[in-house]
This record gives sequence, structure tokens and C-alpha cells, in this order.
Amino acid sequence: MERRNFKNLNIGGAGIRGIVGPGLTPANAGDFAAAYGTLNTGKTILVGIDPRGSSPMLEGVVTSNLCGCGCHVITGGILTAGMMHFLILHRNLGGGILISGGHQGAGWNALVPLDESGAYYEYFRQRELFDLYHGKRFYQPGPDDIGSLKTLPPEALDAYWNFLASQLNVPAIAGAGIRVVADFCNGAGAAYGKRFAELLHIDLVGVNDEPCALIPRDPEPRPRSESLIRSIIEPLGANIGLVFNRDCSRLGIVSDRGEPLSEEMTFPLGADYFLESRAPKGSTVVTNVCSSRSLDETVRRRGGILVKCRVGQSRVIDRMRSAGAVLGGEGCGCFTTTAIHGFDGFLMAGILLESIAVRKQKISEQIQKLARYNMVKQTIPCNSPNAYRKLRQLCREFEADGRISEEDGLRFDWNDGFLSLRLSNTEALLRLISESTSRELAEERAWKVRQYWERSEA
Amino acid sequence: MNTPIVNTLKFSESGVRGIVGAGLTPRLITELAAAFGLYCGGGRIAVGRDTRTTGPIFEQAVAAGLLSAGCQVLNLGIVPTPTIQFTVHKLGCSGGLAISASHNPEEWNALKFIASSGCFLGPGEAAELFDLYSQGSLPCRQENNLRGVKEYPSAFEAHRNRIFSAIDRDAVRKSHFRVAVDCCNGVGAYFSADFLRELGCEVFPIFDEKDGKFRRRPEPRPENLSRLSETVLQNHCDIGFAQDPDGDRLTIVTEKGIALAPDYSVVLAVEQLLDGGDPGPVVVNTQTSRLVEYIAGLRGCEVKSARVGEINVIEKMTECDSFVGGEGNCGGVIARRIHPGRDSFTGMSLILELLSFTGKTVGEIVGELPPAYILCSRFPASPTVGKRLLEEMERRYQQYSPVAFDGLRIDFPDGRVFMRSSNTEPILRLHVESSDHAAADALRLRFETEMKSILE
Repeated sequence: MERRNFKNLNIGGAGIRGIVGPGLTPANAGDFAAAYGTLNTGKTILVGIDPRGSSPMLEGVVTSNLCGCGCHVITGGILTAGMMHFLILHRNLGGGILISGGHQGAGWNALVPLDESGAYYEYFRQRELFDLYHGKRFYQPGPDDIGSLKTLPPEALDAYWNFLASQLNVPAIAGAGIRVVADFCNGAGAAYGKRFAELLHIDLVGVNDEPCALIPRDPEPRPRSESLIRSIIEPLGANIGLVFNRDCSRLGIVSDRGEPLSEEMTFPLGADYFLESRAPKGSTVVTNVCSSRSLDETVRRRGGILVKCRVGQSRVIDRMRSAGAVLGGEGCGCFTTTAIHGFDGFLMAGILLESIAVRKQKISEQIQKLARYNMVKQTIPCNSPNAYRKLRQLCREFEADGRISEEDGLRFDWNDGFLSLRLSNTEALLRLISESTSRELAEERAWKVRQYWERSEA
Repeated sequence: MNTPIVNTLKFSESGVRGIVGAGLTPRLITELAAAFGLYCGGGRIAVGRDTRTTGPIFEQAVAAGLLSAGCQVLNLGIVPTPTIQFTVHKLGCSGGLAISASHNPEEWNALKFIASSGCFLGPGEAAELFDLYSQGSLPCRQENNLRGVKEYPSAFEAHRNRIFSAIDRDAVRKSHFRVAVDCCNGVGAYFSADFLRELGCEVFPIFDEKDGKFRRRPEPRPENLSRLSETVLQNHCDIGFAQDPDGDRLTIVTEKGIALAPDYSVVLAVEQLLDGGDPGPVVVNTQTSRLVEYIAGLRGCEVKSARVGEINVIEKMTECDSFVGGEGNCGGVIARRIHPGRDSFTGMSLILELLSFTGKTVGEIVGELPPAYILCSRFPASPTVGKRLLEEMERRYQQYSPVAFDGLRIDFPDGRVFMRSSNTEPILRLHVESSDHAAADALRLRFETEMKSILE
């Protein structure tokens, strides 16, 4: 019997994403764009891409189908996620579609729908969009109402850089003589690294900074992808290493001593500085249910209130709005303020650079002040149509000794740590996070899950 | 109010065309382009378009389809359809796609499929392509097998140089012709004036705004060319040329401001080609004026008939080893020495060359031909209704031995009547030709009345 991959294509909060060819095709991408166009007919929509091999093809499908549904399209070419979030709101547009596989590897791509505020589609709007997509009945105007196609003028980005400067203490950063090693993974950020360095007057050493289809490493900012630049940080005398994903919406950090930090520490580092310097006591911070407890303690120490939501960047942004939070983010290496309705790698990097400049403290010193847990993060291949049933059965394995939460996947809490098991929204994977004060305990719990899962797969 | 969705799609060897939104959608275009990319076996595909406002959208849709099939897209931008055909052959592309509904009104658009030879797909090849398309769910290549889009902005320059190398450009330049050109706001608005200036002409362009809004009916027929006639007269021009939006059709206005039937473009070009030594026989479609037979007869050259449609004429030309051809009904000049396809730029060059070689005016050259009054009408009719009408007409006029080779041709002692269902629109065309004006009028009136009564 043909073995079918159930996760070649995924439709969820992050739009439609899949492996180009067996999953994501011009046909389903066209239907998705037509569904989006049907919801937004007559509006002006910004389309930006991450320079993947399939992006020109998908850009053609998206722009033509949007115009075919009566949308006026502005093509922005290569844009980071942050630029998309900002430009849509700033230019008073009707929405946008970002064509980017973000953190996913070569072969993947995605269409990420954005609303008129530049934010990801919230849950109910997603449902409406997906119903249209599945129903395949799209608005088809006559020839007089077909949309137009324009290109974003390059000077339009000046407003973005002015915005970024307004969010940061530029004189402090500029005066600190900071040297940065930045790995852009040849993604959208690579096209703008130089401008970022000029804005903040920093000395930026670029790595993988050619925006092109070649994806030189795992785009997810994790210690293993950060380790590529760790060896040059100290010899170059750099203050920090920045490791971005392809659409510049996630950030991993390498300390001035060349230590690749867990991506879980990006948010606590940013939150620690932001809450101390810019937010009043009692401010609300939003994160997802499986982020490191390091953040819980950071927020508590700075007198903030932590609100948890389900995993997904769109959910965090949505919850930030409803909770009136000043800061939100996830353990995958992203955080944001209320200034922008999404995650912007340049803004995150700017805040961390500001923390070095204003506090006059190295990253290696700042990280020492944060609670650090032992965390095991694993992905277990899960190409099963019955994965949710299997996941529920796991409750029994751990029910005796931990508090169970089913807010998103399964989470077991103990005094020393937690275990989170969640089926990926975007890939054929079970994501396992086991955190504890004791490395042995964290590893043992992860091992137990893995053993159970593999046994039931066999 | 939104236009109601009525299917206007037309699949034929002339491509796939329809009214945008009413049948012709970006999705259909992407799928057709993907099928074409697959049909061509990948490789490089040249893509060009006319100035229609929906062109940029369909250009995107086409690129997406071709890329998904693993093709490299060579984007020529806004260029005449003959330039795309020329480029495909010159650069050894696997094929080409023209995004243009040619002479159809502004709200239409179309995809025309070009084989690696630079000629349009023949009926058999087009049928194979449509079979592939009809299978649905065409495979999409994985990302590591996808290629990109390459811009090629100098395609027309190469095409123009090819035309100039095939004519006596110095002779034309020395004549310093005053030429009015009606670009119909199509591709000619980008290229025609400069092209004629390169031939030493003083140019008076009209309808040359580049916004893709057609300011006259796009078919270059005499009844649509009153402004060109005025321009010719006001500026004392030697000749006026009218193009269609994608630059493959040509009609002439004489120095007296008289708009000629499109057949005259072919007649004059054939005269110049044969005098220049291009080998016959002359191949024209069944709807072309008898004047071609007269011109060829004077030069001892045979004329062969082909079915209407550029590819049918080209295939016949290849079969007969002919280098001279055309489609009189639409003013489509074909000089195979330059490239095998209808080309208004080739037509303009040959006719100016004829004027400079003979030293005569257009009016004088036409005056030396036997009189020919060519009248046309069109009736809305689906292909099925059209077929029934032609069968009925064949029965009614059996005593004149009608020719049902392509449409229906009836030769009367005082003229010729031709009726045919269009390949590109749901209409029936009536074409009447006679050497006597009154006879032509009478024949048209008679057939118009008869056809209307049958259609009702």
C-alpha cells in the first residue's frame, strides 16, 4: 500500500504551508489566494517573499489570483516578516500575504495571510478563510473589476527604518561601539543587514548574507544552527552573535564568549531588559504554554504578570491584544512589543543590542542573572493519521505524578519542571519539550515518551 | 454592478481565449501554462504579452504555471506576437506563450501556444496539449527542480534587425516617406514609431498612449480607421498603417485617406516578395481576395489555398516549400524568409520597399489592380448554429458548386461570397468580394437577409 505523508501540506494558523510539489502546488496555493482575495476583494494587498526557489512561482500564483478576485496587489519583492507587519498598517493597506517557509527547511514554502493591521489572521477569520478555501467558490468579478498590479517603491521602506529607529535608543547603541556577527541564513534579512547596521551604527559581520534560494543550515535558530558562528565570535571580538530564520521572525543568540544559547533564552533576555527599562510594574506579558520557566521567573522578578496561550505566533499576538500585554513571545526565539503586530527579528536584535549598550553589560553577564533550566527539545517523526489518539493515551503513562494540562497538546507539570508534548502545526512531527532543574530528570522523561511512542509506532 | 458570469471560453488551435473573469481566470491560465510546460518537456519558454490591462496579471499566472512544470521563463515583457515567435526560434526555446487576444476587444485576453519552431501549435498538437490539460492535477516539481524567471528586454531589437537585414533599407530611407501609424494602443505604441523612423520616415503616430485602453475597435478594418484617414490627409502622408493590439495584422490607408480592405496589405506584400525573388507558390487562406491570384498570375506563380488560421497557412507553405503567404481577411503578411508568422512590421517594411522601388503612390499601385470591392459582416452565432447555417446555405446554392473546404465559399459570376464560423469568437463571418461596387452591395444585402432569417 502506498505510504502517504499526512503532513506534506498543512493549513492552520500560519496559513497554508507544505513541501512544494507533493504538498504545496500552484493549484492549492491559487485556491488559497483566491479564498483570501474573496474575503478582501477591492482592497490593496501587499505580497512579500522570502527568496526560496519556489517563491517566484508562488508569487505568480498569489498575485494573479488576488487580482482575479478584484484585489489590488502591491508586490514588495523580498521582505522580512517584520516589514510586512509594519508596512500593511503604515500604508493603510487591506492586508498581505507573506510567501515564506520561515523556519522550515529547503523544499518547504508557505503562504501566510495577514490582516489590515499587519497581524496574523486570528482564529475566527482563519476559519472563514479556510471554509472559503475548502468550498472553492471564489468571487470572480467581470473584466472591469479585476484588480491592478503594482510594485512597492524602494523608498517605501524608509518609513520602516524610521519606525525601527523610533523604537530603539539609537544614540546609546551607536555610542557603544558594538560589533555583531549576524547569520541571515541567506533569507529575507540578508537583503537588509547592511541597512540595519547603518541605522544603528554598529559593525556588522554578515554570514550567509546573500539573499538566495540556497539554505545553508537548518533555518530554525537553535544551538545546533547557532554553533556555525560560535567559533568566530571571540576571535572577532564580537559582542553578540545573531542567528535569524529565513523571514527574520525568529532569533537565536550566541553570547560574546561564543556560547550558543537555547532559543528559549531569546525572549527572557529581551523581556528582562524591556520590563526593567520600558514597562511599568504589573505589565502583562504573553507567552505560550510550552515556553521555558525561565521566562516565568524573569517576569515575576520584574513584577510583571504572565499570561499563557496556545502555541502559535498568531495566538500570541491575538492574546496580547485581548490581555493588553506590553510584550509577547514564544520559546522558539521570538518576542515583540505592541509597536508592531508580529515578530520582527531586527526589532528583537535592536532591543538586545540596546540592553548591551544601556546596561553596559555583556550578554554572557546578562544571561547569568536569568534562571536557566535544563531543557531537552526533541522532535519525533510522526507520520500517523491517528497521532492525536496516541497522544491522549500518553496521559496514562504520566498521570500518576504530574499535573496535566490539555490547553495545547499535553503538558505535565512538576515542581522541578515540565514536559510538553505537542503535534506540530506545520510538520509531521511530535514536538517534545522536557525541562527540569535536573538534567537527568529532563532526559529521563523525554526518553520515556520516546520509548512509548516508538513502541506504539512499531 | 458585477458582470454576470457567462462562459466565453474558446479553446482552439488559435489558443485559449475568453473574457477575463467570465471563463478566463488566473487559475485556468496557470493550469494551461503548466500543461504547456509539461508538453514542451521543460526547458526555456519565451513569454510576451500585449498592452491589455490584464496582461501583467496573466503574465504572473503564466510564469507560475511554467515554473511549476520545471521550465525557465524568459520574460520578453510587452512585445509583438511575431517577436515572441521570432525569439522562440532564434534562441532555441522549447516553446513560447503569447498573452494576447490579438484583435479581440479590451475585455478579452488569451494564451497562444508557440512550438519550438516559432510557429503556433497545429490543430493536432493543440489537441494533445488540451488532453494533457484536461487530465487535471498536473504534477508540480519539487523546489530543488524549479528554475527562475529571466528578463529579456531586447527581443524586439533582434526581430527588427532581422527584418531590416531582409529588405533594402537604404532605398526606403532615401525615400523619406511621411507615414501615419495607428497603433491601436497596443504593442505598436511601444515600437512602431521608432521602427518607422529607423526606416527614414517622418512618423505621425495616433492611438499611441501606452495605458492598455484601446481607443478604437481593435480589428484594423476600414470602418475603424477614420481617424487614421484624417491623420494621413492632414499631414499629407504617403501612407497610413493600422495595426491590431499585438502587431500581427496590418491595414493600409492610401495617400488620399482611403482605408483599404486588409487584403490589400497581403496583395502588396506578395507583389514585393515575388518581385524580390522569394519563391512561390503563394499560399493564402480561403478567405483572401482574388487579387492575390491576379498578382501571382502576372508573375507566373501559382496560388494555393489553406484553411483560415495562421498555422494552417504556414503548414501549407512548408508543404509546398513556399516563402510567400498571408491571410488576406485579417491583413496578415507572412514572409517566411524573415520568419514564418504574420507580422505587421514585416508588412510595413515590404510595402514601403515597394513604394520606394516603384516610385508610385499607394493609390497608383492599387489603381493598377483590377477593382475589388470587399465587404464584411458578422453575426453572433455559436459554432453549432454556424455549422447548421452553412449546411443550409450549401443546400440552397448547390447549383453554384459551393466549396465547403473551410467554411463555405460560393462563386457567383459577379462575385464571391464566403461564410465561416470564427475560431476565436462565437460569431459567423460573411465576406463578399466583387469587381463591381453595386454587385458587392447587392450580394451582401442578399446574404445578410438570408443569414438573419436562418438564424432567427
